[in-house]
Amino acid sequence: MIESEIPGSSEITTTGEQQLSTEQFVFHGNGSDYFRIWIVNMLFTILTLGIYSAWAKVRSKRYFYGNTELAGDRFEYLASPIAILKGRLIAVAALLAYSFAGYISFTVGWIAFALLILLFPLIVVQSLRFNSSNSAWRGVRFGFDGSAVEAYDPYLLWPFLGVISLGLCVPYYWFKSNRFQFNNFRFGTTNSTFSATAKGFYGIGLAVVVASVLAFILIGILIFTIRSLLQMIGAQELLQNAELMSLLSLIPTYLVLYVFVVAIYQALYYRLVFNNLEIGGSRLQNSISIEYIGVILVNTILIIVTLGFFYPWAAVRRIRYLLSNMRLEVRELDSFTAGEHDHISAQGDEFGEAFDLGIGF
Amino acid sequence: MNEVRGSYFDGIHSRGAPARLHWSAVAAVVLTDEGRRIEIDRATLKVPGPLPGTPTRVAFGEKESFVTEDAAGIEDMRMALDLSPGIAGRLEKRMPTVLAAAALVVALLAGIGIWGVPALAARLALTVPGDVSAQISAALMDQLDTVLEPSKIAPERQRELSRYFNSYGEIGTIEFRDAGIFGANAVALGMTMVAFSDDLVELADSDEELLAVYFHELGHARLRHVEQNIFRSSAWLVLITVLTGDIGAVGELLVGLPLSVGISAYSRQFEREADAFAVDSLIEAGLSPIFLANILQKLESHHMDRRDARESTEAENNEPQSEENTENRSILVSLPDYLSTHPPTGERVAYVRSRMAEIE
Repeated sequence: MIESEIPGSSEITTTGEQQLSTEQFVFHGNGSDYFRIWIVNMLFTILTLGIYSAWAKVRSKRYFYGNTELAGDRFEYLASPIAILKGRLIAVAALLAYSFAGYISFTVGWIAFALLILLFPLIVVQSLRFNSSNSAWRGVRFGFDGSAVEAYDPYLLWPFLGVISLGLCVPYYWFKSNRFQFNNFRFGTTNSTFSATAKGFYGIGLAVVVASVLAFILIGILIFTIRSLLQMIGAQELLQNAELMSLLSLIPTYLVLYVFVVAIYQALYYRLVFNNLEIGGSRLQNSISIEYIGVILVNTILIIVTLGFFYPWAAVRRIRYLLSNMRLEVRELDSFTAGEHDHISAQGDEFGEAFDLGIGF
Repeated sequence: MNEVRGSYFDGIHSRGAPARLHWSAVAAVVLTDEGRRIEIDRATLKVPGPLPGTPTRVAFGEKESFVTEDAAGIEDMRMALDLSPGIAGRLEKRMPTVLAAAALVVALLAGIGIWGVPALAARLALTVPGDVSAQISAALMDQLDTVLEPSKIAPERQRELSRYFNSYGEIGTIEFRDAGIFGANAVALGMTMVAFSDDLVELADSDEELLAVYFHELGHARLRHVEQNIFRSSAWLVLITVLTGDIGAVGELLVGLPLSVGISAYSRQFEREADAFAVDSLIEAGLSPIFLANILQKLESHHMDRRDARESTEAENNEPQSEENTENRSILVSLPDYLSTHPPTGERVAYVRSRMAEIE
């Protein structure tokens, strides 16, 4: 399997003026170690009919956090599996109720849908709180101070405006929601500040539109190439086989759309967000490049070819690439202090996962 | 060896102090290099299970902790203080148990997919009361009506057919609709409702052929296939949510792909059951199962003609368009074949003929 070690030590460069150094994020995990954890997690989750999934989640998160190093110290994930289990049970019950509501009647389905939309900002805030307050570095926890009331503007009003403006307001929604998230984030008692502008998010929106158009052209070319190749080698029978041909069309379509468009979006998003985040005078720096598409492409192909078994290596490759492009320009790292310990229920986080909001650091 | 080197954190400041954690059979203590001595209360001591490659954070007191990268030292302490590494930690450590776990996961997932989910759905479908099923039917019909037109078949003929069908096996409601571009089709919408398209009624050469289709749909209704499908997709949703809970977006997208293929394989099995039901019912009614074979063949050539017609008009209209556009459309046209919900007609007709051979 593909394993390449990134030099394990953090490079520290001091610039002239103040005592400003740059700390490189380093990921120490490897695919085969994570595979062991992942497969045992999977086994126990199935054997316990899903109950263990809460413990499984904590173990994998602990593995990823614990292998992430900054300035000589590792991150930590501290969530209690029981809290996650409670949230999961509620999320599953809600999902079941929601999927049945539509069958009872049109009206009940719509009421359930509306209820879900109305609860969405609360779920987001809860999830952000849970995730951040259970993350720590050097024994000091992160936190999230945004209130649910404030969340209705970025997470209800702006998605709605995004839809009725036929997508024109969507980048502004991204801007609003990220500003809400990263202005309310804190490490110990020190708040983060987010300086990206709406213009930056409109740049991402434009890039996604252009990438989608290119993706469709690419899909056409790919399918045309496959057909021409088959014609050239004289495989007329294969060309007559509608099932095979549609499979041959489906795979490139999926690969190109997912890999190309999603990877470009993510790369640009990380670059924008993680170059505009400051905490206690220290600034994040991110240098993700076009290489990211290659990482995701190889991951996706190998996951398909191995029927999912490459996933642990894929996850490690992706995180390692992301972190090898993350640095923290440091002013002072020793003076952060923890505030009162917040105790947050895991519900929001589990809703977040059940509906894949993609919330997390 | 009964000590490990690491850093002590008080849980309030982000600065760690270089220290040693020292233990005996009865007590544990942290000694910082600056000379501080912190006694550890055994009752609050928490040593998390080992995770390869990650430092261990030993937690104690209200929020104090000691972090070390010395995994072997921590294992010694675990032994000395009689702390369990947890069953997961033990399984992860050895390659044979990891491989056995992988094999077991594959076997279990296959078992759940092939037998577990269908069996559970079949069980649950039996618990659905008739009036709930009728509500489901009405909701599905409402959804269909957004794309269908009212039937153009004379009301007397509709009533005549309904009476004829019901005399061979009763169902709550029989609906007729003009399905437009969807052509000749019939569908069971739950335990109590069957709908026919105008084109199907016109396609049939005799009422017996329509009765054969009715029996097929009645099979779906009696065997609660709609209800089973609802439970199956819910079960899959829960299963995938639980399994991919910590996989993330990549996993979900990938799992979605084989899933849709799997669901159509399921419904092919339902079609076979409904065909068997139809053949049984025809024999019971004293009619030849050949009516089913005939209408199936007519349906197939009907849909093939329609597709050819569609493709030729498209070819005429779109000649000047670029290669890439026609290619894209061909994906859309051929997709339903790949994900076809019905078994091939040839196979279904062969089944009917084999049943007829049995009777003779």
